Amino acid sequence: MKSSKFLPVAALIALMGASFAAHAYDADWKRGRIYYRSVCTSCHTAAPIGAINPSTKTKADWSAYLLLDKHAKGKDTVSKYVSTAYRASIKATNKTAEKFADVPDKELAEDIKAFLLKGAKDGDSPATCS
Amino acid sequence: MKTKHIPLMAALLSAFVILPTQAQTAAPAATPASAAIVAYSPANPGPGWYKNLVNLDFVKKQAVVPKIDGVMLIDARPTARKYDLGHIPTAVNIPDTSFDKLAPTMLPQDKSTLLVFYCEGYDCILSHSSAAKAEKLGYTNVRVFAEGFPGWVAGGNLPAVSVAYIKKLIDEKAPMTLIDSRPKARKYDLGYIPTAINIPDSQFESLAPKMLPADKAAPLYFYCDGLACVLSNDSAQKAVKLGYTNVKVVPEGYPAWVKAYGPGPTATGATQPAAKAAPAIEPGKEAGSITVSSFERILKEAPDSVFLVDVRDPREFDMGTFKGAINMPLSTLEKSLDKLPTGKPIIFFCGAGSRSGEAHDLVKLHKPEMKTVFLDADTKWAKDGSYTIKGK
Repeated sequence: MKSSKFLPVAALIALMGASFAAHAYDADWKRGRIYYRSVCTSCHTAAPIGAINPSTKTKADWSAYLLLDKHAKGKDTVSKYVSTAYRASIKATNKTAEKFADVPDKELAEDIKAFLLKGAKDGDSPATCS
Repeated sequence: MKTKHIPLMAALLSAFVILPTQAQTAAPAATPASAAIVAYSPANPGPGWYKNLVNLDFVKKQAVVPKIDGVMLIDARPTARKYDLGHIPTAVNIPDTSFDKLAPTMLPQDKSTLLVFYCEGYDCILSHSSAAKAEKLGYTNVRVFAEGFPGWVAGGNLPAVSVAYIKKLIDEKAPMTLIDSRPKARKYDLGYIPTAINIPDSQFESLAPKMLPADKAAPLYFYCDGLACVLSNDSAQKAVKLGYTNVKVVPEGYPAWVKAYGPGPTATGATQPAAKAAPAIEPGKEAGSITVSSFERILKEAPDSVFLVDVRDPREFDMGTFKGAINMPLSTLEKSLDKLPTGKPIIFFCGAGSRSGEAHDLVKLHKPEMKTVFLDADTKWAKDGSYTIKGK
């Protein structure tokens, strides 16, 4: 797997921060959970960095991280890995990316953020990857 | 679609221009040139016909009992008016008008399965329409038997009827002879379709002359033990050889009757008690979840009515789980979706209700036709097999 396809959890969050703003969308944390595991975690697990549990950070940490929108220590952006373009690029090998092919970027980003905040260390339901 | 008549010139032209692919199709006799109008046929396909056609010989090799794997015959006609009254043996019924609704649950998961659609003959477009839809769904081995059910019967083949039709005949007290071809002591005596007489296939030659009606035009219906049982088909063929002209089979047989209407009477005259219904799956607070009380009731009273799937890691699974559960870790579930058991509802569970909920959501996303729920609870297992469940 190429490093450009890795989606660090942290990077994800940045995306969310940017998409929050004046959006009336009611985020679907369950959809975010599926994308997080099937796209983010599956890629991270294959890479040396390993899976990142949502419960390793607090809600504030995740929110701050999302605002940064930096993936791989700033080598690229989190939003890239939630984008329709990225989903299209991996849909041949990733069923979930294929299923979510047409979900608007902002909605999916908010879904993932909702999941991360819910699964954060101080969230309603701290989540691990196992 | 109603019968259409098209001018001869157009018909001839279309025969040259849009001759369909006819793998294993024997071209029927040409339409008489003297006719002012022509009918549709594989050599002269009508508008909207599916490209890949098969002929009667091909279908006869697929419509056999025991049913063969890798093949599905599909009757695209309406259920009560057509399919129930007569269809090609082993065919399932997916009316074209209900295709979008039924196909996801009735068509096989393997997209390379041979699908053969048929309906009411050359003037019927339903099978062609359904075949095109199946191809759009990704099925790669789709065919249409354009001659359809009329062609099957005209070829001298036995028609099949559904158990629903037999029930209707029984309820209406319609004149018929229903024959159970199974062994007497081991099968018939333990339960049979009401009104059926027993002529075991092994004793057909000796018993048939005494038990079948003298009128060779009398309707005879043969059944045995479902799609894996050849006895009814064999006996029906023997009845035809004896000169009976109105012979049909009920391929789904007694198992389908029991499933639809409960066990039939026994040789002692007593009706077997209906199988106790499995406890219902009661929805919990979280969408897609099952209540703890409902789960425990199923576990205690009817564990065989569901599949229990433990989505924890193998290490956790090995330390204790519910009796009868299988292990499909969430981390690998997406790649194992095709290995999920089918035929009964699946209850996903884990230790805290998170991974089980995710497994449920994942399956709903990729296989919405599957019936799944998850246990949203904190569960702990002891090595002695005992457990405690605390709902969320």
